[in-house]
Amino acid sequence: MRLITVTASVLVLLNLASKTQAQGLIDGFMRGQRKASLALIGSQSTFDTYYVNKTETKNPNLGTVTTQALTLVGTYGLGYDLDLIVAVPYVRTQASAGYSPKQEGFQDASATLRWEAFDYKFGKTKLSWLFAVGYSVPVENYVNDALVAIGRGSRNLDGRTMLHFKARSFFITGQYGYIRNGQVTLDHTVNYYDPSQLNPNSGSVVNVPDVTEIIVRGGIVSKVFNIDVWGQQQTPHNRGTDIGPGVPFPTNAVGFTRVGATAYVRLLKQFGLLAGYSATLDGRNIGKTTQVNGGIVIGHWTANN
Amino acid sequence: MKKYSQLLTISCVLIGLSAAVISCDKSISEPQRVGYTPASIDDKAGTWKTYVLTAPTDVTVATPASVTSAAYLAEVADLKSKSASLTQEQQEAVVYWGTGAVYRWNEIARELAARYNVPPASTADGKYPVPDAANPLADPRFPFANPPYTARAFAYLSVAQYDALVAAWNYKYTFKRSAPSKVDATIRVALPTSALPAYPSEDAVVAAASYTVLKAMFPGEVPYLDAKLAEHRNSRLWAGMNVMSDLNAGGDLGNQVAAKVMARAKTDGMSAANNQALTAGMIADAKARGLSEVWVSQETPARPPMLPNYGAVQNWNFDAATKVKLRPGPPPAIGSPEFTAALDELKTINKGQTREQARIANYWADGAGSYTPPGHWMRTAANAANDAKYSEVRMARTLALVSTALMDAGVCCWDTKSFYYYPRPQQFGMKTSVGLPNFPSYTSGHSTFSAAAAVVLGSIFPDQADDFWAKAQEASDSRVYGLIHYRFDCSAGLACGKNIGAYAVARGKADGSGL
Repeated sequence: MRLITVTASVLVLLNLASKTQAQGLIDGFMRGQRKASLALIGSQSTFDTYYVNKTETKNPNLGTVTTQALTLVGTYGLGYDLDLIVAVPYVRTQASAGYSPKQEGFQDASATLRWEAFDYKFGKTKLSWLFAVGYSVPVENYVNDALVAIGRGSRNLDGRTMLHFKARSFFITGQYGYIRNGQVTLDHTVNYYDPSQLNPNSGSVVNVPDVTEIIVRGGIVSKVFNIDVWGQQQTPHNRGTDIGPGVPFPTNAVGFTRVGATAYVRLLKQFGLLAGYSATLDGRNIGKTTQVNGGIVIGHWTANN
Repeated sequence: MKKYSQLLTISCVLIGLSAAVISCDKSISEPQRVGYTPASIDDKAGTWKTYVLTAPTDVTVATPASVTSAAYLAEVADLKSKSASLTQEQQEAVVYWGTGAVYRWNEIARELAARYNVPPASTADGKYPVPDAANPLADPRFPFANPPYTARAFAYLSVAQYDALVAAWNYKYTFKRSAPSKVDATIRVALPTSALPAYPSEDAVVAAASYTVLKAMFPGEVPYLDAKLAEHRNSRLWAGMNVMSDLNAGGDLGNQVAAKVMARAKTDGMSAANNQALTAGMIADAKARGLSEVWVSQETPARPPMLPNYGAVQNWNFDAATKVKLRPGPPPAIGSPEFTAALDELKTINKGQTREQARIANYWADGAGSYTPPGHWMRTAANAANDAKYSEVRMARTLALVSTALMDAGVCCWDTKSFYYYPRPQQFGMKTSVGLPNFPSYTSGHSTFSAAAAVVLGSIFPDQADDFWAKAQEASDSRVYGLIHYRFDCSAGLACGKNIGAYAVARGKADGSGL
């Protein structure tokens, strides 16, 4: 379950807006001490409509933008209440029309520590309170300010807290996160001097607005399958720019509301398959994407603990 | 269950950490340029050759009151009260404008160019409306400050500043009225003072001339320009640098010069630059000369070419016959071995563009929303002159030489583009990430602009000549790395730009400055 959710956001990288966080959809299920798992997940997200600020736009000189990603996610239980989650995506993105070339490469590697600070059990139900802190950094020096790019190139710090409730096979998790995005250096200088652009002088360094995030996820878990639905809302915390000529894409204020579902089925003791779907309902300076993904999970799968 | 005390401790640490992360500063600090005492005050600049004025005395300025007159003493008293104590905002204005009048107005022009460098969007029926100067803020906004438009705006701005300053220097040394702080040492000055006479004020001259030109070039920005003009004039009072009559005489002089410069602008042929009715003839002529495939807009819907008749606009440093002589020879025939070799080079880059090639392509792209390649070079020129601590008049001379060469380069390049009407590499399958220019390929505008500017700058700053040329070469290469030009577009553009720059250099050598 967690593996699905970890990658669900990695794979929705949008080229007209900033990337979402690899650790953005960490769930509330702990891995368990000295237990490990590895997942390889392929995904494809597409959009032919994007939001300029909040206005839906289509661009005949861009067509449909397709982003495919292959992501490796490893999880390890450092302690019964402490997990380490690492993820590395390889991303390829291209537009169906116009003259933007395909971009591909390793995007941002992330590492997240998740700590179950508090748990309270009564009978078959359990309430836990978790914290997570993650850091992500670009693996490659990819182009970060192009119409079709694999990411925004910032180093990001992600802090979040979760309340996780489970009763028999039903669970619900709510979480709130703050993602601090570092500054990025563009290949070119910025030509605007307007302070509201967030890049006041004529240099190449620009700010990437921070975002906050709320995620609610609920579903059913059992020994052989898990299924859940989730909703995610990301909101820019800092004032940013909107998509426009000459405006560096990393400075855009990005937000979205997305819903999705994920499913996992265990085929063998140490082997399972997963699949997911998500859709963007609303957005700001981002593509209106739909995404499908699927992958294999090797290792100890203990979502139902 | 865990202990509450442990939970509490860790929660506090986390909340503290979060607060630290959220509150820490994300501001971008970059070094600001500040005022200086010029390396030379160029006291003979009143005799330098002007562009539009036949002589500095084409414009007139009233004889100033003597520094012992009651009227002047009243002005000094007023200046003292204005400069005695400044608000934070006033101090910032003094520092900002203290960097240099020409420098700041050029920077303002660059910013306006960037704001207005937006290609009109297509309408629902697939047409592209043309911006209307009489209704500049309607959609699409006027102007579309593309590279030819911007090159011309910079040229008129710099010429007006330069001619106005030469006239101002003439009258400064005619009247020789000292700066107020030299007359009365108790005046508080916030900026370095030189031995330059204060009447008429060079800042007011530049402000008025720049204001008039920019108001004509960017008619939707009048309130913004009004505010800049007022702030610039006031900053001289706040800084204790000029009395009101210095400013008024400067403003009057600047307005007279700008009116003459704008009279030239009205008749230089720009009004016919976007005459789309001419393209059919251009295509027919190019085909008649043997071109097998003509340039076609690759946008959806197809967009009319940018300013197809800009090549007919009047040049600064040579006449129309010379322009025809400067036009590069024909590009290789499509399908010829030369053409195939150039296309193969692009195909190789298309398959495996290196990160450094992408960086160079992006660094020089200067596309929509930027101040364009001419702006890029104006910035380079202004910064070099600022680093060299040039006086206002020498700064203006530098920018006038560079900007007129840039406009000449634009005119020649567009003349060449329309003449040959050569297709872009995208018509043969190339991709590009730097934005696809919507006009014919041969020759490269970046190359022509950059070579012209680099040659002029190399002549003014000989110790940096190699560096400027290396930049021009990189700007030229960037279009090959960006896959929107064949190598021969770029090499022909560089060669042509170099020749164009030489005309501005020759003018500079003969303008009486001895520089």
